Amino acid sequence: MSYFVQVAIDALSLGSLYALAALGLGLIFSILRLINFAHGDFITIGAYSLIVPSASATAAFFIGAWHWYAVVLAVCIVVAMFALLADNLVFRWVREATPTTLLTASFGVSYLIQNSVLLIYGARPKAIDLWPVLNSQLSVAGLRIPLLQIVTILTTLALVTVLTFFLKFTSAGIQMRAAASDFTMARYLGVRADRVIALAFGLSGVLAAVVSLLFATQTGSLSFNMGVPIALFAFVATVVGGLGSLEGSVLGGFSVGITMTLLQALLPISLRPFRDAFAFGLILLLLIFRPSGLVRASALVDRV
Amino acid sequence: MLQVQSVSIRYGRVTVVRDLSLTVARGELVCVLGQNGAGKSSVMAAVAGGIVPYRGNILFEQMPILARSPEYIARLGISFIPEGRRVFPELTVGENLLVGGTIGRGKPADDLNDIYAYFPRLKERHSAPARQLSGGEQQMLAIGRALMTHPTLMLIDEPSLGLAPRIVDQVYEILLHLRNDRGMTLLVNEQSTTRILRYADRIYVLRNGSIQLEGKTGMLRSGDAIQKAYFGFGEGGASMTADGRVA
Repeated sequence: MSYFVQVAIDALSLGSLYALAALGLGLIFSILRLINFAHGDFITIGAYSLIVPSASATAAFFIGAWHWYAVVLAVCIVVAMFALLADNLVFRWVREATPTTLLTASFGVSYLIQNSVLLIYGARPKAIDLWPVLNSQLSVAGLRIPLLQIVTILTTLALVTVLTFFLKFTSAGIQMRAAASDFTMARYLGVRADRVIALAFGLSGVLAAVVSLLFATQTGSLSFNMGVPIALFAFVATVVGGLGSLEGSVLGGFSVGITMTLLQALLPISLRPFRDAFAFGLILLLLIFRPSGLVRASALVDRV
Repeated sequence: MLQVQSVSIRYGRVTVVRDLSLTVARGELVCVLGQNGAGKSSVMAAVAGGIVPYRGNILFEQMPILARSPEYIARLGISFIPEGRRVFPELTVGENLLVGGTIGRGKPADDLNDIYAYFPRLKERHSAPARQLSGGEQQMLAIGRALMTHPTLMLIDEPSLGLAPRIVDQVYEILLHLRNDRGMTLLVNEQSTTRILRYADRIYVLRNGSIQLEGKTGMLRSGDAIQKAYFGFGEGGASMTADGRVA
């Protein structure tokens, strides 16, 4: 029983991380039809903004040394700024281009960020100890649960709730949903394209920032491509959930996280190294039977 | 109010509109009549900022609006209802209307009540996703949503498309009411001549991207000239008399 609860919490916390990252990808995709592979590098930027820029082997905290709420605020602002910068310098110039061109542009941004990080911070991974208190364990009824996992799950719940509220009940949120459904029609009704897009990139940046903080606290190390695997799994999650649907992104994130954790726990030891192969096998099966993912986005079907 | 001057539009190498000019005066209900592919929709989209013509000019209230963004043109008071109505299917009726309130010329809550007083049926469906609405209801929603932007000129592409004749009459009664009681100026695209001769003040007949005929509806009632301009030949096949008046 206690083992089961432990696995369940592992699954939910990994799923949370993927869900947040998938939501960041989904927000941009639903409006621009851009699969932003640089999203993982936004996560990397968030983590590196914690330390003083230098190529030395030991990391000295910069933003990371501040009060925790100042850290959260500052990292969110930094990553959101970089997301907006990427849009202004690159994506806005290929707005009318095909999805393939957009995808290629995002790879370009991704490599640019990774190499800039390499140049400034060096290639060696750096150890950091952010918020050590979160890595302590909580003893509840015989269970030892890492505090960070609880924080991750609660943070995700809070962010998804706030975002849902924003999209459902504020004027800007309704405009965003309209733009995601039919961008041109929304513009005919006076919705300002540049504002909606900026808002999407800003929100996507904030989500990446939160992922970077949770992830950096968990792993305790920084590397120039640390965000890439998260973004890759998040992309898989958006496809599983249904590209173009935000509910689908969250659902897909949790599905992928839970599947990974369950396979890790249930596979015989000799097969565990091949966990990802099993996971992707299951995903392929799902996509064969439900090609549009768990949640079908009507906007994708109706438009074209 | 609206002047389209010698506009040409092409997609890639295909020219769909050739040197087209038309005007709409304040308070008029003008109809552009033409078959599928005649270029009606392209002209309207160009006025609304969705397409940039490669030649010509478009003036609204004497101000050039060519190649301005759709949201800018919407703010000037031109509201465009494209073909197929294009309601946001996953958004509720109320949310669809609120998107139209984006421009913020009035208080959205007041405007919403105003629209609901005008279309009681929409009020009943306030919380329903727009995809659940019937075609007629969706057309009302599209009109209501356009009204939320407080336009002075409305462009409506094929309002009768896919609707039952009884509903089409309703839609035209609404448009007529908007013109007569609210001082709205209307430009309407249609394929069928059946109703338009009854409702429009003036018509343009469009074929192959250029205007074949224009004039006041009263003077064109004979129908034969319209038919000739519309189809490009005089007698027409017996099956092609879309207009009951044509002998």
